[in-house]
Amino acid sequence: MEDKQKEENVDSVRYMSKLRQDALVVVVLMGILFFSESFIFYTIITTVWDSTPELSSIFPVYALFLLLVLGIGTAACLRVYSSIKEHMYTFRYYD
Amino acid sequence: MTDEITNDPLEESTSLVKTLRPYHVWALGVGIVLVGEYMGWNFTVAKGGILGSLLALLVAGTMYLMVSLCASELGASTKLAGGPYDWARLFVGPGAAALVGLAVYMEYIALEAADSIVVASIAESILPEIQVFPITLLVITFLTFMNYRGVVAALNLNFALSFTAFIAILVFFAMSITGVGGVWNPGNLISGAIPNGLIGIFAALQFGPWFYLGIEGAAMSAEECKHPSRAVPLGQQAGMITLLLAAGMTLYVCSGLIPTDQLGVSVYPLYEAATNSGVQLLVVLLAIGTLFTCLASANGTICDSSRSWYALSRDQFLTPWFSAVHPKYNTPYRAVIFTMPIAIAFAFSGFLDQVITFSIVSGLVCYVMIPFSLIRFRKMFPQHNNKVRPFVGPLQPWLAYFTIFLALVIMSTLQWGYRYNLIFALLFYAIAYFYFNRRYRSLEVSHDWGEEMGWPEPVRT
Repeated sequence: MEDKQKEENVDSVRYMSKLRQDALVVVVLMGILFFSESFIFYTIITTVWDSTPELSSIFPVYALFLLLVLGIGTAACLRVYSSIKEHMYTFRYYD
Repeated sequence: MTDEITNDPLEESTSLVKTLRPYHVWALGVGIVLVGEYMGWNFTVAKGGILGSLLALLVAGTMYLMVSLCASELGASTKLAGGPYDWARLFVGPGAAALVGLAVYMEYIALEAADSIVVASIAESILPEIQVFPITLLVITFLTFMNYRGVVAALNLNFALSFTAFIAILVFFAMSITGVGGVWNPGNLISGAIPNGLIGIFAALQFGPWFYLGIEGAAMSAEECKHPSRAVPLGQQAGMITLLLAAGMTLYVCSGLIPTDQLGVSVYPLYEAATNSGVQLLVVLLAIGTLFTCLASANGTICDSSRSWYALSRDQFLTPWFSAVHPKYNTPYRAVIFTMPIAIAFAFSGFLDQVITFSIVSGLVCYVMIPFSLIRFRKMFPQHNNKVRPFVGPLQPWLAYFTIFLALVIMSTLQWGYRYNLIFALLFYAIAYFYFNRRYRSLEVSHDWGEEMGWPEPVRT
């Protein structure tokens, strides 16, 4: 109820525009992160794969931590976005 | 309007100005850490080759992502300048608080000294007639003055420096993968994939923190943020992603442009890679990037170490004299000025490699205590509401437990090469813990949560 009242007192169009800008920053960063980390991981692993027989035994560890980096990073960004969206009127983020 | 939707007593009792925005938080975090991409990270290659460095990047990256999430939740909730120190004080106890406060202070002051010396060394390499020590002193003095004058001016400077240094890495990577940034030689990777076997890969983890060391400091600006519940999580996560990007790109370009045996001992690996590329634009760009990132790191560490000292003083762990806030510039100016003699003492000690290792151990102590503070915070205040916890991190407290595990694993790898440093540092912090815990036990029971934080009483644990 209180949030609704606050929402009515602010420029909603401006708020949604600013929220989209915040989201865009995060999406662009995540996009570059997914591309660059996957590219670098793939390039390094495929380059040394044939010449390094030990790699096949520890490859699951590399794959696990790559997935953890990308997975936790994505979860963090989604949570930041939903938190900003939830609180932007209450705390008047964009005034 | 700041984040407080209820009357916040901190607003009245302190007067640090609340003007910082997400990009300032990003600049503080990235500014401190980006220097780790320009130098230092390559010791992972000396220990474990390219595959050791890749594993260190991924394992340390996972740990720092989780540390950042813990710091974002705690920083957005408490909104206090002491950061890890204040979280330990509120949720663990006075001994742990003093331990973390000291660890943060040592971590950042040592980095400030190292950064200033590198800036002076770069200046000397350009102009051989000048001396390193006077320039080091000049750099420390200039950056202390910037922080004395105001946090906004200091962090605006950091934003410009960090952004330029990050763009330099981005351009280098883009030119490298498109084939115009020199010849990327896969033979370097093949010859230096695992020079010391699987043990070497594991030992390389000890230098993994170089890629990201200090990112948790971004949350220490929470008390000076206009909207900490937006600025801290957004700025910190954006900063962490930036560092992951920079770390991966740096490893890629350096591994293909510098032979592994040279990469492991290089002082300026990115600059050296640019030189090997033969592209003059990249040489100039990476020289500027190296200089700027050192300045930004030293600038950010002054900001964070002074806030930790200020918080220790404000809570009477130190003399309250250091907790004075400048009437005009709204900065903890005495704590800021006091960073100068300590940083100069470190800079002139002549044992910087030992000091830097001490900085890493100090950081790892923080990475055990920060998630532990979050676990305690979640138990004491399980409710998720705007007043107590405006930002709720995902998958907690499980990520916090995993962070502690990874920090201990990385700490244990210091036994390969730095066993005595590790023992000395842990002994130092153990003594600090028991001393302060005994001396200030009374502080633990004197919390008035309503008055201090505007929160309800905690659940008894």
